[in-house]
Formats: sequence, C-alpha cells, structure tokens
Amino acid sequence: MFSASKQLKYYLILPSIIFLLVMVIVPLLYTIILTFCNYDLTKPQQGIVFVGVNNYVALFSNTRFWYALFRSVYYVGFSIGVSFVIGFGVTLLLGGTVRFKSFYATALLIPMIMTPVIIGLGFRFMYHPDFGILPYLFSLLGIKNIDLLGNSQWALISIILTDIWQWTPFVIAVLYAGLGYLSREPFEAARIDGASHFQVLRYITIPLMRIPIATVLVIRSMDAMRAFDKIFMMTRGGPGLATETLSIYSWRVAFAWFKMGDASTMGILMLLIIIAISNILVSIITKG
Amino acid sequence: MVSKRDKKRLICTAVTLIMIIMGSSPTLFAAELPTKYKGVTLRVIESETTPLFAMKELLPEFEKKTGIKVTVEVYDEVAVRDKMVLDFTSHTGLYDVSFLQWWFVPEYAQAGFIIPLDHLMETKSIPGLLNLDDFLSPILEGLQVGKVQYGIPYWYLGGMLYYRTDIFDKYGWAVPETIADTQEILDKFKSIKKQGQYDKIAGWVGRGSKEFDSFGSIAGFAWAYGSKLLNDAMEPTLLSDPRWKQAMNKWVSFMKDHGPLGAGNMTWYDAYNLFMEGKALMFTETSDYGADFTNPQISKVTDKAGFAVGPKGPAGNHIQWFYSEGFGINSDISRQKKEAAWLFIQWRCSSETQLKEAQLKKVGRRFDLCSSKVLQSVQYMEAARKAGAEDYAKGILETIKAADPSYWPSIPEFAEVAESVATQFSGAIAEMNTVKDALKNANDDVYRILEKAGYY
Amino acid sequence: MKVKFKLFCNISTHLVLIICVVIALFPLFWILRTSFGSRMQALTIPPQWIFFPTLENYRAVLFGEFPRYLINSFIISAVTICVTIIMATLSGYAFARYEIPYKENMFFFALTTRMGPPIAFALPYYLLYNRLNLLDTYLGMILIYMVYNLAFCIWMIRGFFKDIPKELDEIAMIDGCSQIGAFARVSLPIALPGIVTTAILSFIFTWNEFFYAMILTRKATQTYTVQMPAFIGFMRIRWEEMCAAASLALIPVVILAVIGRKRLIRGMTFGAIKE
Repeated sequence: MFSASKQLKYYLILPSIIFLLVMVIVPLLYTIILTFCNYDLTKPQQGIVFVGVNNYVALFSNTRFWYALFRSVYYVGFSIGVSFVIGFGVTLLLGGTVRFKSFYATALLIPMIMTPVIIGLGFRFMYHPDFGILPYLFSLLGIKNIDLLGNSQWALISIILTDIWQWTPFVIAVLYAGLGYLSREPFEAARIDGASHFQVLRYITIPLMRIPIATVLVIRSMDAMRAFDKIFMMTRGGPGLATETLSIYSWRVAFAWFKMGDASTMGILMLLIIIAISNILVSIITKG
Repeated sequence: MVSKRDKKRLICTAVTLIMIIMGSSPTLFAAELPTKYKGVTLRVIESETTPLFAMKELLPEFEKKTGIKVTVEVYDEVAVRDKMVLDFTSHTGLYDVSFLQWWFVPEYAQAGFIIPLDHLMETKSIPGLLNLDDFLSPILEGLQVGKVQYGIPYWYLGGMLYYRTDIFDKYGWAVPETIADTQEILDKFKSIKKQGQYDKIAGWVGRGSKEFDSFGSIAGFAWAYGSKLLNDAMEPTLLSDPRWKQAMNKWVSFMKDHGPLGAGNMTWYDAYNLFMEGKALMFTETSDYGADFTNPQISKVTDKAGFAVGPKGPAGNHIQWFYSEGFGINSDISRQKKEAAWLFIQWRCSSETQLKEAQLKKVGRRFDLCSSKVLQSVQYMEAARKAGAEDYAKGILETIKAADPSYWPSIPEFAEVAESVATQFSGAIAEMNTVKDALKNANDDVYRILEKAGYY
Repeated sequence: MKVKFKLFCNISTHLVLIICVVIALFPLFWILRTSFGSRMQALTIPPQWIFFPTLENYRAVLFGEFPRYLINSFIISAVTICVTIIMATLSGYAFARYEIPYKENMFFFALTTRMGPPIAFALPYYLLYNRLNLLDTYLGMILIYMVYNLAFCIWMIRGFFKDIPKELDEIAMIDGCSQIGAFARVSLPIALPGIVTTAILSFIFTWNEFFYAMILTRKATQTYTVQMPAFIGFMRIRWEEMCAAASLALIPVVILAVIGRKRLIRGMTFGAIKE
C-alpha cells in the first residue's frame, strides 16, 4: 500500500535533499579543494594557486598547530572527564529516587540553553581580578590575588570550568534517564550474591548503561572540540598561546590573516578528527 | 560733508582692513573650496576613534561648501579591516575613501587596493589648502611605501609617558628621563606599596595582550635599546641582536613585576581605563589619551595627570610608539570620484581643519594633531589652555619632535608577524614561557612566515 | 535505624540537588543582579548584597542600538525555524514511513553540518556570499541557518514519526483517507509535541549562534550575539549594561526552555535517549 506512493515520497524529500546537496556538499567540496591551494585574500594578484599537499605538510611542521591541537584535546579530555565523573556521581546518588521532571529539571536546564557568548562574558565578569565575585569568594577561603584568566596555567582551566558548568546538567539528565530504564533485577541479584557497591558499579551499572554513556561522551566531545564562543569572549586565545585551541587558531588564520588555504586545511582536519572521535567512541563502547 | 574722493578712500581702507583681518584669521580657509564636484557622493569607511568624532563635527561645513555628500560608515578597528579587505578583494566597490592605519599600508599598496597619490598631489591640489610642509617627514613617511605616498595622515601618535603628578610630587620624584630612572621609581613605588599604601594602584600598565597591536609597545620599547625587528636582509634579529634580550627582560619585568593582575591579557583600553580610574602610576603609550585624561566628565585623574616624552633607553633613543593614520583612495572608483576624494582628503588633513578640531567645544575636541605648524601656533595653545590640557599639548610637541619610525618592519606580512611576536611576549608576561624561549619562538615564527612569503 | 537511614538518604539527595541548582543558577542570578545595579555596584567588592534596584541600565540598553539587533536575531531565527520545520516535517515523515536508499549515509553526512567545526563551512560561505552579494543579508543568514538546522530537524522528526505505529495510518486509510489525509489527521497531531520541541530546540540553537553571525553579518543584519562584546570595548567598559542586555536576550530562550522542558533532553541527544 505504501509503496504505491513512490512519487509522493520523493516529492516530500526532494526539496530537503536538493537543499542539503547544494548547501552542504558543494561548500564542503570547495573547502576540501581549497586545502590543496594557497589563497591569500590580501594578495589578489596571486589568486588561487594549486600547491598539492603543501598546506598539510606546512601545517604538520608548524609547532603552533600542534600546540593548538594539544590544547583542544586537553580541553575535550578535561571537560568531558570532569563533567562525566560529577554527572555520573550525582546520578548514582540520586539513584532514581527523584522525579526528574520537576523544578530541579528546569533549573538544571538553564546552563544548557544559555547563550555561550553570554556565559563567556558573564564568567569573564565574574572572574575579573578587580571586581569579580569569584576571586572575592576565593579570598574568603584564604586564596588571595588569583588571576583566573591572565595566568597562563589557570586561564585554560578557568575556561574549561565554564564548559563543565554548562554541560554537566546534560550529563546528569542523560545518565539519569538511562538509569531509569534499567530494570531492577540485575541489582537485586547482585545484592543477594553479596556484591559490593563498587562491584555492582563496575560489572552491572556501567555495562548496562553503555548507550547513554556513549551518547553523552560522543556528543560532548564533538561539542567541546568545536568550542569557540566562550574562549573567544574570555581570552581570544591569550595570554600568549595559553588558551588557543584549534578553533581559535583557525579563526585567526582565516579572518585576521586572510589565508584561506591554510585555514581550510585546519577546518578539514578538525572535521576528520571529530568524525574519528565519534566513530571510535561509539565502537569502543557499544562493542562490549 | 564727505567728498566723493573721501568716500572712495574710506571704502578702499575698509575693504583692505577686512581683507587683512580675513587673511590673518586662522579660522577661515586660506583657500577656496571648489564646487565642481557638486552632487558627488563619497563613501568613507573609518574606525571608531577620536578623529572620527572630530571630523563628524566639522563635516557639514565641507559638504555645504563643496556640494559633495559624504557618508561615513563606522566600525570597530577589527571589523573595519575585515570589511575593507573583503570589499577590496571582491571588487564590490563599496567605499571610495579608506581609513589607513600605517602598518597595513604596505599590504594594501602591494595588493593594489589603494592608489598612489603622487599624480593627484601634483595636478589636482588646491594651492594653500593642504601644505605638506606642515607635516614633519617621519609622519608622512608612515603612509609611504618606498617613497610613494599612499595616504595623507590626519593623526600621528608618538610615545608619551603618562604619570601621576600627585604621587610624584608627594615623594619628590623627578620625571624619569631614562629607563633606568623609570626602574628606580617603580622599585621605590613597590616598596611603598609593601607598606600597605596604594594597594589598588599598579606601578606600570601597558599592552600585554597577544593581539598584534601590542607589537607597537614591544618594538617601541626595544628601539630604546637600539634593536629593530628586521635587519637589512629582512631577517629577524631577535636572537642575533643581544640588545633585544635586555629590552625584553626589562619590558616583561615591568609588566609582570610591577603590573596589575592579568597583565598578560591587557589591551590598550584596559591600560587607558586603569589610568583614568586612578589605578596606575605611570606608563608609556600612544599619545592620544591626554584629552580624555583631562576631561573631568570621564576622568578621575583630571588634575593629577602628567605628560612627558617617552624615556630614553641605553641606546639614547626615546621609547617610541609610532602610529600614523590617514585616508587613502580606493583604486576601483571612477576618475571623477578620485578627484573628489582627493579634495576631501586635502580638506580633512589641512592645518586649518586640524586647528578647528582643537577648538571644538567638548565633543570631538582633540589635541593630538599632526601638523607641526598648528602645534606651534598660538591659537592651539590657547585652546589647550582653555580645556585644561596645556601640559598635554606641550607633551605632544615633545613627542612629535622625537618621532622616529625607522625601527618598524613595514612589510605586507605585518599582521601575522606582529601577532607572532606579541603572542610570545604576552606568554612571557603570563609566565607561560621564559623571555629566552619567547625570543627564540618569535624569531623562528617570523623567519617561517617571511620564508613562506618568499623573502629568502 | 532503617528509617533514619532512609531519611538521611532523602535529605542528602535533596541537599545534593539543591547545591547543583545553586551552582547552575548562580551565574544567571549574578547577571540579573548586576543588571539592576548601578555602575558602582558592578565594580565594587565586597559586593553589596542588598541595594536599591535601578532600571537605568535597561533604559540605556533599550533606547540604544541593542533592540535592533535583538529584532534581527528574532527575524532570522523565526523565519529559519518556520521554513525548516515545514520542510523537516514533510521529509521526516517520508523518511520514517518509506524505504529510501542510502538513508543512513545521507543523514550522517548531513549531520556534519551540526557536528562539524564552523570554520569548515563558514569559510566557503564567506567567499561564496561575497561573490553573490549575500553578505549581511537576511536571506543569506536564513539560508545558512537552515543548513545548520535542517538535517538535525529531519533526524529528530523522523524519530518522532517512527514512534507512531504504522498501523494507525493504515487504519485511517482503510477508513477512506488518502495518504496525505492520514498524515495530516493521524500522524501529525500525535507527533506534534515532538515537532514543537524540535522547533524550540532549533530556535534556541539559532538564537544562540555566534560564529556564522560574526563572519557573515555586518551592520544591517547583525545579531545580538555579535554585539554583546561591544559593551566592554573602547571608551568605557559597561558591565552593568551588558548584563541588562544579556538578561533581555535570555528571556526568549528561558521561556522556550520552560515550555519545552519535557523533551529537550531527547533533542539534545539527537534522539538517542527518550524520556
């Protein structure tokens, strides 16, 4: 019965397919082609020059690129790691006793939907060494004169903390929902067998929650890899190179120095990394 | 009864007197503005800085006299460059007159975005309107590429030392003339602070951020030690010239040991705001802050701000902060528009217009002009005195005498080179690396950039 | 003993939750507080906890340029979502009900727009829009945000339609409805809450977007996200006004989030987790 509607189904999806083809594939191809060219907007006489894999070679021998890549990876690892631990911890603590669709749920939604730009500027205000509320609170605890965004060691961590603040509720929500779906039986059985809390956690809870955990890790790592707005608002990559992640560096190459070929190369590399991360994570976790 | 002859004489005398008065009055144009471009619209793009406000106040007069309509699009500094480059490269022809910051002129000139002005200067100048002799040659050089003039400056900034006269007077300190003097005062201030006073006041502020404009502070400071970024073979000298190490050790120490928290992220307006709120003791920066520091409506240090020329370093050079800004003409427009644009530029940069800027009542008033004729004139000093900025005006004269842009790397690749250097030293201030590492990394980066651009 | 333990668990659970809520809401609270304070209060520490609120900052923001940017954001977001949702609903239904070759590959590819780094797409659009004179136009911004949202919306709405058993459609068609009729009268109303949630989520993401807005707009269509840092620029650093502007900008998203709170998590996990 449904297959008789061959024409209908194509009518329904054709606009979307065409739109996406034109608007996604074509620009992406353009970017990929640019990665094999030199295109400096401030040197229009040279135009677009084909250079083969030169951009990739130059990029891999550029220490600043490796710094930026390292910083991006550090950002992702730290952010997901901490928010996962906190999120999982809170989830286990709540243990399905609280109905999540309540006042708490709405309150925890707020960080997730706040504009990253506003979060960045807001935290920059709160971190300010002269009049920020957070250094003040720290001073009450006895830690005086800290410079959260100006000290190269703390700058990146301070920014990662805002990322953790924003997305831990997400981790909590997803894991909590996942936990809610588990049946009680395995837990009952384990308790009867005398398993410790830790063993329950390791051999039952985590394996059964593979899918929510994988979901959270994949989505968070993709988002954290691309993080731009908050860093841009707080330090623009400074001081020095302390907070320059790949996204910030590629922005600078493209829109401060107008080197489109080099920037495209970085963009495509970032895309490949993101695809690789999601594939790896999904296969590792859903295999077991 | 007045005879006919007497009447004639009276009229002649009166006319002569009037002409003498008109001729000697500095507030009237010495030259007539032609109206042959009536009806032309000029589109100007500029960034939001003090000369813009001044120009906007005086623009209606120009429009009335010449019949040219001038529309001005204003953006912040970063967005302006982005818009201009886009317009240039895509030949959308959105602007006729472009605002030129001297450090980007080599880039724009090489790319053919702006036209050399020599032809217009020779053939289409209104005599008496724009007298290039009024400008000191370093300032004109700022907007030249290889002796070819690409823009006319309306703004020149030099390295000026700002300091707190009240604190200096209290402890009997003399205005520092050398960097060694400056170090001495900073150390003394630090020990006074250790005793509990002046908790909120930083000894030294400046541009510690990694953005490319911090390069102006770094290079200007290094010039006091005699080092410049590129040698004659266009190679970076950060490692080969030992004076760089001395200079940067001193600079980083000033910012790190005597600067406020967050010095590694500090931009020029952070520094400017800190001083204006009374939270800084002294600093060397571009010479354009004086009008605001002496403005009681926004400044907390109105009668406590002192101005002097930048101190000298071991090489006998003053600390520089050379900056020149002007207007250029885009290459993509019609001949008639280019001539109209040239008329506009002559008017805007003329000494008469500059004097008027100093005489504005409050909005747009500025004293950091670049015509040395104006700066030495009686009317200018009078206007400065009325605004309470007499010391500042004197300071400007001193800095303009010390102007020296020879240390600057005037190359098209400036943006990337400057940012690489500034980033490294911003990191040194924030303790991400040592000065030694910063010098090496910056040197390598600059070498790499110039090598890729084909210099060697 | 056991009762005490249970009570302890209860209290500690609520305690943990309350701490979480305080941390989650503190920045918003601080922004609001600053927005109602004077310049002095924004810049002094220790902070005055009790003070007389003022609407001065809101007045300054509302009578300045900012409302224009909010309106720009709203126009762009609203039009984008409307068009996208309509297209996505039709396509999502088709993908859910019918067999279409290479479905999964297409989706994965399309989702790269949402998952990929903005620079990879902003660059070609920057150059292409320049050529086509689409920079700083409403049409240009709507197109790019449609790209950003379309794949995601199709994916989500397809999921919602898949949850509805095929049998319902078949029953309706047996009763004499055409295919379109079955869609409109049976599946659509059931899937509607999910579609609305997807729309809300897309609106929030578009409203909050920064990178494309920064690269592809100038004066005419500039959105509020790009203008936010302007409050702390040259001349004076006006944190208190920035907070007022931020509060205004957050109103739409907060309202939408409260309305759609039930299924937002599902949306954020791309449909993997259903509540």
